[in-house]
Order: sequence, then C-alpha cells, then structure tokens
Amino acid sequence: MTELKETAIKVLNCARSAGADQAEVYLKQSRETVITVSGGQVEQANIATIRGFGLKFLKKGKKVFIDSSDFSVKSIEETIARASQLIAYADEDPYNTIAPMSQTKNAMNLNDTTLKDLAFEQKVDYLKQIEKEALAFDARIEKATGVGYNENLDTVLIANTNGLLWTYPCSNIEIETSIMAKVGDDRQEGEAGRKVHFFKDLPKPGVIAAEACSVALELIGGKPVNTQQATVVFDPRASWSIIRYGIFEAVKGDHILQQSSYLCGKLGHKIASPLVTIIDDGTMPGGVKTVPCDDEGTPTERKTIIDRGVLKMYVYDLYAANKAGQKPTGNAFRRSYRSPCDIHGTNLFMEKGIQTPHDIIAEVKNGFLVKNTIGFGVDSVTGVYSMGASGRWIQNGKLLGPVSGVTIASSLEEILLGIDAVGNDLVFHYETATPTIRVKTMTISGIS
Amino acid sequence: MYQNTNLQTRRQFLKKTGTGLLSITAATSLLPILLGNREICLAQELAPNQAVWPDEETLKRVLSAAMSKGARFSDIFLERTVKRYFEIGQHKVQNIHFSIDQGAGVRVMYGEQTGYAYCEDLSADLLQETARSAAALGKSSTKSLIQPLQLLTPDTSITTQKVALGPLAEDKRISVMREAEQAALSFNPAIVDAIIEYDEAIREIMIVNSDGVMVHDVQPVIYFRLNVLAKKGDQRHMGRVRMSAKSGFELFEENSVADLARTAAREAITMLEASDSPSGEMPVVVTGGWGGVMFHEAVGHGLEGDAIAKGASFFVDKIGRKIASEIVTFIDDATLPHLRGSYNIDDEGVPAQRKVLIEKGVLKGYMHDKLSARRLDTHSTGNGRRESFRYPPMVRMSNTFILEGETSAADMIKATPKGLFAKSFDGGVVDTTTGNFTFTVREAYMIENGMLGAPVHRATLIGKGSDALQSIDLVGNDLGFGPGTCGKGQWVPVTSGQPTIRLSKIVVGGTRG
Repeated sequence: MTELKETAIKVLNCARSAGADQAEVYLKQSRETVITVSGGQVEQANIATIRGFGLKFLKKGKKVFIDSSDFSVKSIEETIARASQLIAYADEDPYNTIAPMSQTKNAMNLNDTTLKDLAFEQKVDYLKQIEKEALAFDARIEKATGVGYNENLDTVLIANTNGLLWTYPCSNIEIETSIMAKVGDDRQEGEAGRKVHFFKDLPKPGVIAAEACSVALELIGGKPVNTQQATVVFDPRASWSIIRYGIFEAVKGDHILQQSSYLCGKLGHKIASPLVTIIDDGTMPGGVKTVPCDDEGTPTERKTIIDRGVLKMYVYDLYAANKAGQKPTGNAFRRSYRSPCDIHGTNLFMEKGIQTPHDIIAEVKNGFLVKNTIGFGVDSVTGVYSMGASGRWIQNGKLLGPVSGVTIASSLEEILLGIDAVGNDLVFHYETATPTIRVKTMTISGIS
Repeated sequence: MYQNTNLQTRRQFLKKTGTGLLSITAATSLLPILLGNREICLAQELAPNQAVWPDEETLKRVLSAAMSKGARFSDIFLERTVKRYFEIGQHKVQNIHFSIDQGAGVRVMYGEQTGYAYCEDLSADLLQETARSAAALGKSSTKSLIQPLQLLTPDTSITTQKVALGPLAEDKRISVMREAEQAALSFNPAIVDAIIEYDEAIREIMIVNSDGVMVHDVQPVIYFRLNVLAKKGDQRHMGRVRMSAKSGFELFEENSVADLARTAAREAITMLEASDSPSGEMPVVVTGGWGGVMFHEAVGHGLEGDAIAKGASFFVDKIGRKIASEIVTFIDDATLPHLRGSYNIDDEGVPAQRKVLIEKGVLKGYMHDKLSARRLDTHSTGNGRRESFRYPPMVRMSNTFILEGETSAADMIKATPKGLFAKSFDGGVVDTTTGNFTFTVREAYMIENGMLGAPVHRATLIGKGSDALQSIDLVGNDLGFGPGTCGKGQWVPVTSGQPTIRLSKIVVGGTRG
C-alpha cells in the first residue's frame, strides 16, 4: 500500500514537472490465479503477480493516456516524457478534467484476507468436486468441458493533482463450469458460474454442478418452431442481456452526447412498462461490483435509471458529465491499469416483481421460454433487437419440448413497453441481474 | 470513448478451448483489452532485439528452471509490443494512448497438464522466478533434458514494412484520420459524427523451447476503423468500415481513406430509410469479404483441434466425409502476404502454413497447436496463437476463406426471385457443441424478382453449421477478405474471406412476416 502511494506521488509530481496542469494516476497491484480442472486433475494452472499504473496527463485541456509496469524513477520519467511529447497531437477540450477531492468515504469490506493462505489444493478440490458431482448428476451427462477458478487479489489506488486519494484492497473470485450432455446424436452444453468477493460465499460444488447439468438436460435436442408472433418469457439466464445491452448501453452519457442512442431525448419519457424499475448501485452490500469509488475517484452511489417505466437519468464519467452539464455518476471503470476509463455499470439490476416464475409461465397460452440468447443482435443505436435463442415452448401454461435454432426479434422500445410480468426471482450471480420477465409479443423466426 | 466489445454473453474468463460460445467481432474497438503496459527508454524503441531480449545463457537457465521438475516440454514466449492509438470523435482528436507492453510467459507441460506463469519485466531474476512458478505442478525432482538452442530464421517475411511505422512522424497518422473524417462529414448533411480510430501495434516476439527451437519475428499491424453516424429525426444508423494489414504505413498509399469513409457514410445514410427486416427461412445472398465471418463461426471454430480433441465439435470423426456442397473449398492460410491474420511463425514458433480444411465438400483436416496435435497424434499446423505473453497459446484461425467459384454477384442476385442480400455484418457467435451459429447483418436489402430492393434493418441469421455448408448453391468469382478480431477467451487478429455466395435457405430473424 505504502509503495503504491509513494509511486503515485512520484508519478503525479513528475507529471507536474513535465508540464501537466492536471494529472490522474490509477495504480493496481494484483495476484492472479487461474485453475482449470479436467478428468479429475489440474489441466491448467496460471499464476502471475503484476502491478502497474495508467496516467491521464492533461495540459491546457489536452489529454493523453499512457501506462507502465515499471515503478523505477527513470522509467516513470521516460513514460511521462512520452506523454508530454504526444500531447501536442491532442485537441483542446475544456471538458477534460480530473475529479475533485471527495468528502465521501464509502467504507466497505471487499477483501477476503483468508485467500492468501488458502492452499492451492483447496481450490483444486472445489473444482474437482464440481466435476465429480456433475458427472454423477445424470447418466446423460457425458463430460465436463470446462471447470475453472479465477482469483484476483487486488490493491487499487487512485490519486490526482487535486489531492484526491482513494485506496482499497479487493478480492475477486469467479468460477465457471460447463458440461456436456449427450442423448443419441444430440449434444448440449450447460453452464453455470458465479462471481464473489469471498471464498466462503461460493456455493456448494453440487449447486453449480446441478445448475449446469439441469440446463443442458432441459435444452438438449432442441428444434426450431414455426415462424410466428408469440409471447416471450425471459428466464434470468437470458433477461440480463436486455438491460445490459438494450438499456445500459443506451443511457451511457458518451453515447447520448454523440447522439448514437435510441434513448436520446427520452429523459422523463415513459420508455418501459410501469413494472420496470432499473437500478445501478455501486454501494450495494455484498454486490459483485460494489466499490467505494469509480476508477476516476468519483464515489459510487445508488441510482434509479428507470423508475416505474420512466427514464430518469443518463450515466456519466467525468468527461461526459462536464460536457452535458451534469454530475459524474460513479460509472467510470477500466479493464486494467493499461486501459483508460470507459462508462460501465456497477451492480445493475431490474427490481423484482411479485409473481413467481411458475405463475408467469402458467398464464401463457402460446409462448416461448427463452433460457439462452446468442449473437450480437442488441443494437442500442437503432433500438433494433434480433437475437438467436433457445429454451422451451409453452402451451396452455405448460412447458413443452426444447426449442433452438430460432431468433426472437422486436424493437427495444416495444420489448420494454410490452413487459407485462416481472418475477420475484432476482438473484445476483454476476454484476448484472434481472428476474424472469414476460414480453407480450415478439416475432419468432424459425422454419416456414 | 471507445466502444465496448459488444460481446453479448456472460463469459468472463474461462474460455474453454473448443467449447461454448466463440465469437468474432469486427465493428467494435478492442482497445481496452489490447492496449498494453510498460514504457521503456525512448531511444530503445528502435533498437535491435538484442537490446531487449535476454541473452541466450539467461534463456537457457530459465528453460532449465522450467524443466527442473520432470516436465516433458517447456517454452518461453517473450514479447515487446509498441502500441499507438488515436481517436477522432465529435471533430476532435479526443483520445491518445501510447504504451510499450513487454513481458514473458513460461509454459511447462507435464503430460497434458499445463503450468503457466508470466511476468511484465524481462529481468533474469524475474524470469527464473516465473519459470519456477510455472513448473510448480511437477512432482518429480529429476531434471528433464533441454536440446541445444538453435536460431531458426524464416526464409521470407510476409509482414515487411515499406514505410516503417517505428520512426514515422505522429502527424502522418493524424493526417490520414483527418482526411477520412472530412470525407465522411462532407458526404451528406445527415452525417452527424465520424469516429475515426487509428490503432497500431508493432509486436516483436521471441520463442525458445526445450526442443532447442529459438525463433523471433516482427509483426506490425495497423487497424483503421471508421464509424460514421447518420441521423434524421428519430432514425439513426452507424455505418462502419475497417481496414487492416500486417504492413507498414504504405497501407495508406495503396488505399484511399476518403473512399473508405464514403463507404461508411453511404451505409449510414442508406440505412436511415431501412424498414423492418423479414422473418423466417429464405434464400440469402451474402456479400464477399467479411461475409466470410459466417463460415469462420459456422465451420472454422468446429475444425479447431482443441474442440476436436475434447470431442466438443460436430466435426469429430468426419475426416474424408462429404460435409458440404461440392462447390465449397474452405482454407485457413496464415501465409497470405500482409493480411491481418497472417504471420511468419505462430506463437509456438511453428512456421505458418496453408491448410485446405474442406476440399470440394469433403472434410480434409483440422487446425492444430502443439497440445491438440499431441492429443490427436499428429503435427501442429502452425495455428497456436495467443493474445499476448499473458496467455498460453491455443488453437486459433488465421485467414479463413472459401475459395472462389464462377458466378458473378450480379448473376446471383438475378437468379434469386425473392430473398435477402446481406451486405455488411457485425459479428458472429457459434456454439461448437451443437453447431448452432448466429451472425448479425447490419446492412441488408430485399431481393425481389432478381433485383435489389429496399434496405432493411439489422437482423440476426441463425443456422446449424452443417446445414449452412450443404445449402450453399452458388459461389461467386469475387473473393475478398475482411479484417476482424476473434475472441476465444483471448483476442487475436484474423481475417474472414469469401466470394459472394448464396445460401438456398437460412433463418432470417427480422420482425416482418
């Protein structure tokens, strides 16, 4: 921690001496462990200890981003010399700034201190157990095609020449499992995974195994249905992508300023059914993407993006906020210290409703329960939605056989306004979560 | 700012080789993933490799540490990549990013188990420590043998630079971007923004392994992306064009960026008038070039040796069988000069090759890296690639394409009474287990009575790879290639190619019955 802080001070001082009138540095130190298991033994074990910094260098409204993993004074000076040379090619833009010092102190515990002493074998055993339970789940489960564990023990530090300084330790664990089911010539993959901060919050291996196996067995042998208009129920496995790509992409401040969003000019408008409330909350206790501040140093907060169908706000990083005359919303994040910030969601979710998924399905005369979507078909520029889908057919409230090889299509506007049921089954397995939702009607394209 | 990689799936880290959803994307900036770290001495940027790479004795000692616990094989992958990124948007040079990403990955193999570790510094001590981490899976205390290192040099280079990128003045780069921006903005008053991205990487790699191989290569790559936004009332469309090559700056002498910009602008303007896309099964004429993304997904990923070795592909045990219409010959060729997916050696040091995967409809072979080749008792085909030193290699495509046939694109449309003409695409995704794939059409037109009709909105096309291969009934004479970036847990530069082709029947996912 102290070394990161000292380096941050060195970098900022050096940037100042090189002519920066403002500078922001993001440092990260990380121990990364990736383990995959196959056939009851370790298939791959990857280990790395890394650290580095990314610097936003501002001079008279011009901006350059540069990064390095070398903390030596000589290297820092050379890095900054490069920034100072490149800045001549940037255009002036008064909206390039750094965050003010913050009075907010979001105290959070995001760090599993037991992880550094947890034996490698214990993590391997967890994965082996998932594989074992999956293979024992059902005779139709042929093999596990991937069982993996990814752990990052991070220390993050954000500082700038306004005197802002945030630092926090944070552990992130992700597990992922995929298995293959086989019946006759049909094969089907099933997946399950989780992201958590604490090892103790990982579900029992059997839970993950059962989830992955159940979905594969449910979908195996899927066939296309006829092209038609029908009701579509989105399982939580599929519904999250509508809010992530259909809503969040469209309310990003940079897209609004650029006019490249179908939600431009819709602030205060009813854009969704009254059943729809969308929240982005970087402070949510226990959240996967809970952090005290974003990567520019703006404190995170809970925000209602859509309130009972009405679009309430757009989300901003510093630059977009300055340009739009708004406040930044704590949504500026980086993929690594080597990347500049972009606008991202934190814990992004749709508030749960009152109906059970069972009741939502039971009310459908003729429809499609979508379990998975596949493709690049959510376009937040035009608002067109067209995705590959697989799931189960619903007739008179009962689930029939598996369906695959079809697409579902509509416009995002019609989908959001057409939501006529929201489930009570909101569960956070990842940072984006949505309960079961039902859309009155969509076009299903399949065989003629 | 940069666009997200719009990979619309949850998968975060574990991209199991050969199974699950593999995607390719063209329209999105990969900068946040691809840009790297580590600045070193400015004067060294142009210095020869000797100034960067550790000496041979150091490398031998690192290999020796890697082999100290009875490994059967190990390799060290050293990389130094100088990256530049410039972005113009809303009429300003908004983003500049420079980095020197340098490091090494050590891989140690015990049977089919792999230990991997990497470091972001090339100091001898750190390399030793990295090798010991990578070797940690080993149970034995017996040192394995290491063959004497022998430097191999490829006879020719397919990535030579006529106008070298290293010493090029920055304003030359800005100037081609400005030219593209102006051409787009002046095309039509409805063009409201032109986002121009210049993305350049000079990747130097060196590979040494316990079999005694020692090779190095320089891989310069330029990726020039134009995103042009048109708006009229509530209608908007982003037209996109990309150009990429493993070459020097002569790319901009041989190609007009203004023409590219006008192509993107024309797409944006035309699509403002788009109506709803049709839905259901119909004949689809797919344009040449990047249209080949469909076969990259529908077929290519299923022919990657790791998917075959895991039994997670529709194409297992189908060598010698007729799997496609006999007018289809499908090739992966990493040796085509200057293409984005080309290289002299792959990231395991194996020379690049041309592989005929499907010949006149008959499956001829798979693509392999060293590990999948070992599992299937065959040789690597030079398809072991990695995003950077941070990742172990895996089986990847290079430039995959369908060989050209005899029909002209115009005749193909004439011969189609009713259908869809798919002109520009975003990306595709495949589930190799079921063979189901999608690819998303961003610019398309109806075909009515053998003539091109009105433009229609974005639609996802879906099918099974095996059915799509059988349903190709016309192959054009206009082979072209389009650049993209393929994601399989790691991102690598590729091209997809094909002449214009016609599928007699595929599901089009629009809304109009």
